[in-house]
Amino acid sequence: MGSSSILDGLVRRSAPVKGRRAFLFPVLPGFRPGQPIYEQTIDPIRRATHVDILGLTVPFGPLPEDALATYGPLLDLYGSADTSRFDLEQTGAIRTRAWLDAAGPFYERLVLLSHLPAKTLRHWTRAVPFHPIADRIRIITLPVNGRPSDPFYTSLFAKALALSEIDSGDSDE
Amino acid sequence: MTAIFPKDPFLLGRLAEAHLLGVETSPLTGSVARYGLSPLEGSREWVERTAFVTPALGLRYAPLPGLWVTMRKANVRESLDSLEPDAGYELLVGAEAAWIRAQLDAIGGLGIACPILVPPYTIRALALGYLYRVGFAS
Repeated sequence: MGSSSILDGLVRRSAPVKGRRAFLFPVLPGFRPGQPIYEQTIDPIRRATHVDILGLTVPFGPLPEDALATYGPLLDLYGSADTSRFDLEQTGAIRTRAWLDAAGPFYERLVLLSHLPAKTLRHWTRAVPFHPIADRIRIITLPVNGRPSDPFYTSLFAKALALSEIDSGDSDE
Repeated sequence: MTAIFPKDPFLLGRLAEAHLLGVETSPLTGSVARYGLSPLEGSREWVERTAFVTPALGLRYAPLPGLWVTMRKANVRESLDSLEPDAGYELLVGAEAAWIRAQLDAIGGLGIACPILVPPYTIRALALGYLYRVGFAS
């Protein structure tokens, strides 16, 4: 009886919240809060109440958007750190995995904006394999010269995040 | 074996050197490391400018999930000398219990060797972020 209720609790805790989605993107020098291309891309997503926006940082792992906006200088402080890129990516992979373990199960779907070059997501690709929620992740890859604010890509993001479906209360999941 | 905080001294930019004074751990709240700060030679300016941010001492700066830092006057309870402007400062670095557990689970899941959970460069960024935040750079 006791162990059964504990198990039930665990199952409930790891069940996704209906309609909840996460939009993740690598934080790059040319794609940060406040920059026009960033705002044009993120603004439509920001209006959807069922989507959490997270920046993938090295080595902090996924950070909520408001943390990126407020603490951008903190990311810059890492630029001068006398630490190898490899070490930073290792730490980033650990932080990302920990986030996936803790927060990932609550999302019905996670949409990742992958922006080439692929090295910006090395910590992510280390953290995700064989994770229980890996099959809930959709990846949208932009080519080197692709602009995420391009209407073609913004419509892809909207579709992957089911923005219109949720807004009209017509979620398929 | 993964340590939570670095035991060896490390630099906070070109301002000061941090050396571990002690770690307090509670299974409920997590771990707090106490670092003494020694101004580097020629950085007398550090002490004067840190005194400028005295009103912010003790306020927690927590920009990252699970971690926080703050500063306080050294030996503030033990000595009246600490009220002097050239008294030493301590850096407190906290890691929440749930955060520590999540990181250790992730390390186990990934099979990555991680000697220190909160490495010096993380503490440096948090400490400098704290100083900027409270007006040290102004």
